[in-house]
Amino acid sequence: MDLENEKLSSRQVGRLLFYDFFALPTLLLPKILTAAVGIDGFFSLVIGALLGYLLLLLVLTWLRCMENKKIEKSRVTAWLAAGYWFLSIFAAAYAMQRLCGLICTYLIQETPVWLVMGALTILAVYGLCVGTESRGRMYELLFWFVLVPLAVLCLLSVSALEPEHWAPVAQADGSAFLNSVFVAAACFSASLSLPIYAELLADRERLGSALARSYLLGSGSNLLLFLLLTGIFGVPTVARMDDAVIQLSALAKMMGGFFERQDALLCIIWFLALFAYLENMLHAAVWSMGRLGKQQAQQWYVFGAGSIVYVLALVFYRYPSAVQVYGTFCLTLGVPFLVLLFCAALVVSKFFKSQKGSE
Amino acid sequence: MANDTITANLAQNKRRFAEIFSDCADIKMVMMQLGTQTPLRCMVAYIEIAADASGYGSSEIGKLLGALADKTAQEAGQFLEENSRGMTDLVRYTKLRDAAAGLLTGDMILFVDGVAQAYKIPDRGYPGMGVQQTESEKVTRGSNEGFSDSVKVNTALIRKRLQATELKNVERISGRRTATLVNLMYMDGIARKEVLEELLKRMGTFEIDGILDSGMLEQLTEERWASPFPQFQTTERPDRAVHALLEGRIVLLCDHSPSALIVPADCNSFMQASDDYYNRPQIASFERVIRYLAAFFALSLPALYLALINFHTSLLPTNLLLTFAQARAGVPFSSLAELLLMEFGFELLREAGVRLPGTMGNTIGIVGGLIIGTAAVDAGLVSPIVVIVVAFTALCSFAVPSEEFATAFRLLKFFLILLGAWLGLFGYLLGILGILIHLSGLYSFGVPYLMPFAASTAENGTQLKDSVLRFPLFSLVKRPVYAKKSNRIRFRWRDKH
Repeated sequence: MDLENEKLSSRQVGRLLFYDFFALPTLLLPKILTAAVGIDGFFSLVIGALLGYLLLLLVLTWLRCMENKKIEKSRVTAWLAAGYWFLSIFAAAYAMQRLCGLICTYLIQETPVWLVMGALTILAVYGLCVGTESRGRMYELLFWFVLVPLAVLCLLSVSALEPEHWAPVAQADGSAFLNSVFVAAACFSASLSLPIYAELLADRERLGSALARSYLLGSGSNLLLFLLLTGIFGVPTVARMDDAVIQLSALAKMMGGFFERQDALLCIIWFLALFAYLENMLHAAVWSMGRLGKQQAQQWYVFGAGSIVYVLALVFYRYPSAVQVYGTFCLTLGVPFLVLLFCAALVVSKFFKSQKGSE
Repeated sequence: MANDTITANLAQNKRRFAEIFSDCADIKMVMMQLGTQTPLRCMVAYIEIAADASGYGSSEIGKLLGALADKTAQEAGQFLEENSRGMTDLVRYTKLRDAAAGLLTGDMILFVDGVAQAYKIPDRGYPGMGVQQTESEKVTRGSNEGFSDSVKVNTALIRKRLQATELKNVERISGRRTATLVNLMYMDGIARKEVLEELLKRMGTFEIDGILDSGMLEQLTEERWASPFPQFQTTERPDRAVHALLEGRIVLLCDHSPSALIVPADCNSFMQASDDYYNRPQIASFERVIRYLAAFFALSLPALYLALINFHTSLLPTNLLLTFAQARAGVPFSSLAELLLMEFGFELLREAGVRLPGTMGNTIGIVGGLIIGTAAVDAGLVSPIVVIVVAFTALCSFAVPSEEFATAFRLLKFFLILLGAWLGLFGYLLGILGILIHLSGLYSFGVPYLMPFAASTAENGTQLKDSVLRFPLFSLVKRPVYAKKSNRIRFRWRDKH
């Protein structure tokens, strides 16, 4: 029946990517940017978001060029799939480590990490097993459970804002600013995973507008939260704070007197967003494995990827230095490699298109 | 319409009339021959249960046929034209479609060979209010007529409300030894044929000794037996069934069962009540919001309570925390044991209340709720807070209009209680996500269970107009996704409003 087709609508793809634009950047960027360039981090964020948008347009253009073309298995595509697999499996493990950190800090302090990670892995694997269409549907719905509490959080925090914390601006030195722009842009590079959803798309016409909306919402949330955090806590405090956005929720006071602290409740926003990101990355890893091996063994790839992510996340949790190595690798090699690859692929496909036209 | 005129040729009239009522098992057409000297052929068409077909002799039609017995075709035509029996409600038709509409009002239609007219003869008509009142699905506004145990009466109750020739009724026999009559009703041109075919296919995939209720058919034809969520909607109300038919869904009636099954279904359809469409949109929307909140609390409240008092006490204001602590002082059990004890007690009361005869069942509720609850608190076995939590949860589960859907919440509540007691809010979140993942992968005959909240782009979000909020009737222009894509418009203004 046409309602059950294992396809995703453009809106669903947009919403799936929204979690990628939102989850990790809102947790990571405020601390990194304020530590590097202070309040000028806002401008880094704006420029980084613009660069991220350009990357999104680049990937979309490439997708349009590749429409109705089947990518044959070759050594190049195998290397590409291997690169995707490598990046996504580590990204999933990192998301799991952050998620576990949130849970063990704000929800249940005394529960063993292996148990928390085990439960999350089982749930993520179950989520992948029900199929991409179902996953798209679920996160389409959960989107509102992230967005509405986030809007409430922002509204409740506005009263604590002290605009004098935003001054003085333009104090950062050039190289530090460029570095921070690069970090911000790398955090907004989630559109690189778009080709994974290409073959699952039911309607390509609306993809551009759906992605643009999601991107604007994701990057807009980052900008708004950055302003709120620096405006409320001040730059030096934010630069030292882990999970500043969760601390922000502790300040918000809800009406009715039912709850004393909201942070445990509002960290649910990031719980859901990070879990969605974790599942997206796991899906990307499984997709890459499918390109490297047999397509039919999908269920085994899910279990395999889940197990690897579980072990890697435990390593990340026990050895924080491993996270540093991963971060450096991502920024210096992983993301630039994929961006360059897309640029090259676009140039090549445009070249072939123009040659075909002239013939 | 071409070929719509009734001719003097009875065989031709019968063929064309049968075409109009194709796939309508409840419409009967009986050919007969009157008289012996100069045999007169005629045909009587009627809705099975609406006509007094068993005893023509004493009925108006019987007397009329008796009077026509010794007449030739010409004399019969003359006799009927003059309405010689003086029937007050005899209507003449020259068009087949008009005759079909006349039949659907519940009366008999008589065709006589050689007469280019049909006659509507008043008869017993549709079953009336004496049928049965609904025990469940009570409404504040609207009919209280309910389905009975007879499938024939039930199909007639639907036809009474939906007098359209497009209403089709496919008949099947199920159960090797019980030979239970099963009727599938749908609106031709609105319902998706593939759903009907799938349902018929699934009904043909098994062989069983007996089908004693529609619930057995439901279990044998559903897609995911392991899911606690119902994949068929059930109703005991004919108006609800008709509403479903008009939305393009299929109604399955089983003999000896007052519950009709409706497919496809989604989570939103289980939260709707019949009177949502009879009340003003503001009131209906308010009631629906209350029901959705009730469903959330019916599922979550005990688990959240346990998570908060066992793991996240810092979230609660000091005064509230002290109240909880004071209430629990002296209770010998852990909060989980205390909650499970009360939940178990409540389930026991519910079960006893259902099995006991009417008034005694009510008494059990009062005795259990008031006396046992108060006594348990006085004896220090449970805290008053837990009694409040359990009672509030039970109240919320009663607010969910569909009993089957509410039962799924009741079951999953225990799953969440255990997770909440083990891992606090994290456990609760895991449980909720698990349920959501399960629901997102659940279908009812090809329709995603989370419609219209997810995949709502299928109709540009118009489906959401009849979900948590019920928009005014004139804005519900399109039928839900259950209906055929080519026939989705269900409302339009006649002239510019």
